[in-house]
Amino acid sequence: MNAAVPDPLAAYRIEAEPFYRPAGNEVALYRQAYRHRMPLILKGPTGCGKTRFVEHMAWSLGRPLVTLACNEDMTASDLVGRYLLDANGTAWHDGPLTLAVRHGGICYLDEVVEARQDTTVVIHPLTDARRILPLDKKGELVHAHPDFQLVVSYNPGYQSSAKDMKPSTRQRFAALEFDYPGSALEAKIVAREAGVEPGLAAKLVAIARCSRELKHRGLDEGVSTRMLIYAGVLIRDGVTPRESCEMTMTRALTDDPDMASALQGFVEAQFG
Amino acid sequence: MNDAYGGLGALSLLARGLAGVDVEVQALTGAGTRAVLTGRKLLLPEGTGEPNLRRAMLAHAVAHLRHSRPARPAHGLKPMGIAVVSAIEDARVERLLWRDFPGLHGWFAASLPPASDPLDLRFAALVSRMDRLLLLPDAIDDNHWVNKARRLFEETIASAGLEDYDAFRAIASILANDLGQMRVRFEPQHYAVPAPWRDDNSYLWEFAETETAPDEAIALQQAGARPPPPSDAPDEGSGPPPSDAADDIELGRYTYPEWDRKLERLRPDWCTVIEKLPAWQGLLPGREQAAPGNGRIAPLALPRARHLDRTHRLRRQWEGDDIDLNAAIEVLVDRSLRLRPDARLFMRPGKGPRPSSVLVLLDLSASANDPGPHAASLLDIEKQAALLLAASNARGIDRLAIHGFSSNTRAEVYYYRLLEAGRPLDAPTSAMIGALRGRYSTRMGAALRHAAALMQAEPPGQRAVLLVTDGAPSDIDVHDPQYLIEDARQAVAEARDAGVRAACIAVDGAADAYVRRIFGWRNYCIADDARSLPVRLARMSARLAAAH
Repeated sequence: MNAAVPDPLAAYRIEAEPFYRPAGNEVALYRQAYRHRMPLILKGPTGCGKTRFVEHMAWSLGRPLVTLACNEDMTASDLVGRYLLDANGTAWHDGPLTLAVRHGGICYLDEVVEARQDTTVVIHPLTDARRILPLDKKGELVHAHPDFQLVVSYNPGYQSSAKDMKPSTRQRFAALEFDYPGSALEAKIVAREAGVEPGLAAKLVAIARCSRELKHRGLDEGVSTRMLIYAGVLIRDGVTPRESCEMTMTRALTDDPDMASALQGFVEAQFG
Repeated sequence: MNDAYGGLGALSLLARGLAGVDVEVQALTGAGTRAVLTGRKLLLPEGTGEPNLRRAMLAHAVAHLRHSRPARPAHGLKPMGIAVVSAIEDARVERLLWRDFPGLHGWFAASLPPASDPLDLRFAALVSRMDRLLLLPDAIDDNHWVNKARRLFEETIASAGLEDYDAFRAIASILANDLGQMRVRFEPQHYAVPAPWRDDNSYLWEFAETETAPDEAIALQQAGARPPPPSDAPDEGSGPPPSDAADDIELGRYTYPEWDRKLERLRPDWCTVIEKLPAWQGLLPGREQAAPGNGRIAPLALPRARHLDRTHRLRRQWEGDDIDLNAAIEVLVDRSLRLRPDARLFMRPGKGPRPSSVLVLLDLSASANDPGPHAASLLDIEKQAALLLAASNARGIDRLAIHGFSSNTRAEVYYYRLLEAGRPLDAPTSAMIGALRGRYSTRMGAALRHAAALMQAEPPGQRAVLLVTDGAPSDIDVHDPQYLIEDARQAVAEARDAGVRAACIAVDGAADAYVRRIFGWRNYCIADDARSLPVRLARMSARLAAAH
């Protein structure tokens, strides 16, 4: 289509290996799904490593990764593209999804339920045997590049979300379920990503375990692995553990004074 | 109750996180100075103003819940033996707890009483000195028995490990035996566990029938532990006698079918729903003012739900999905005339209101009158939550109705239209809601059918019925517990087919067994704690109003 540009997805290529520590056989399963270009849903709580996983897989498969954070205002045009005006009249500009479809990238729609359901139906013809993307405004039918794959993420536990996924959309996907890794593995991940010693990482993980007990008892979600890494980074920089945890966990998770007090209690139970 | 570490609610959350099980924390009224742990309930002495001590009490209870086996038979042990075994067990489970939560050591150490007089060789002083040595590795004591206790304790950790209850029980027997030989006297009546953060150890033991004293003490304490009714709610005596349903003004009768799960068909015209106006007659100005306006629950800020309205296209926008052809032609014309074109040449769908109607259906059965663990009855909290929701003009909900129901056999399902959809909440309505009383039973299906029928008269858009209940459906003329559950499930399905979504908030920890069956996945929410009802009600109604 655009012969002047050698690789239209160059900006989306991942150069360095993103750190990812598998918790199960998700890497092998993903590779199998990719062999058949099967569309995938990654389910799991916030900050458990869904996005990092797909980055890692895109890197290891050598595919560019086109990520789109979905939101309620997103329209089908934001995905597939639109006409804009230039000096010669109107000109079509491919949207990120169309770019990935044409040039063989992995398109990752983060938090797909946040997009309205009438927006997400544009992915339907891409996610069955047809693998086509009709650009009806442009009058073009794009056949997906053999390397194209669609991956979406979805957080089923997020109760305050007003949205569900349409059954006709979810039926088109295979799903991988993610959760926070086991204590020992999570501590290793925190130690590696935050650059802190294993003992400290284990204490941070123990705090997170306690907070996850309070899910649905006033917290929508407990402390995520990502939050632990933030806390670890601050502690490594010399901030006291109590202050780091208060800043990255307690105050970030809740505004409720009782809940904040309980979370702070978990921190003190580890750090005194 | 509110201190630097929050109130009892915060302590409950702390306990849940540390212990991994739900723990109800309550105030213990009466003269006791030690905490009492019974099952999953922790009673904290009221006089404990020191927040650190209360947290240490909680942590100690968590240690028992995680690591002690409750209610071991006490027969064959003398009172002094029980006290020594309990003290060693307390130290053992605390050690286990520090292993997982190293910071907790500081909570206990901060509550440690000052060292006893080295010349005091009474039982309580010796146990206190032993507690100190087991807690503080650097502490020194010159008493042989106390040092022997430490030595045996540390040796047992090294040889058997902290998990081995029996090994520690064995050293406790040796220590108790030594005390007997030392002729140390034990006076059960005057003995309280020396460490102030430790509970009275009734959790650990089960006494045979004849030795009921400790059990009785707990039962008494529990009876006294119920918090007093809040000052803003007058007690039952000063309120009016419960008005009878017969006093209510009847507005109309409707008949509805009911699903018989055995016959697998609907019995036509089986239930009679009687719409009534509650007979409140402006009674008790104080009470209904107290209910909504006492400020116990802060007003809520709800997210605004926006709806795309495709009938409404905004033209000449700076950005949008489509080019506005008319504007684009003008741009090209302007450009060829070398004029400065107006760059607003896109169009996009506008965001307009789409009416959403939510009917909050309150369960007004007699069980809602029962006071909850935090004093206010569920009915009071239900009323407050509904009034708050109505008063907050919850954004996203265009038409809010509040109705209530109770039932007395299939012939009399009372239905109260308290706040009609689209009407503002005025003083008489709030008063009427405030004065409601719970009575009779919960025949959910008939009430849901009536509510769904009323919702169908609402303008098209989102239409939802949100039921707030405290238990499974029941009525006095039905003996099969599944019958009304299946009927309610059928009523929910009928409503859904008619375009009315039915959802439920159950204030009942055991609601999982039936709400999911009735309302289906994601259409229910369980509020373990009635105090969270207002927030959950607001969230759930916003979610229903915004749903696609």
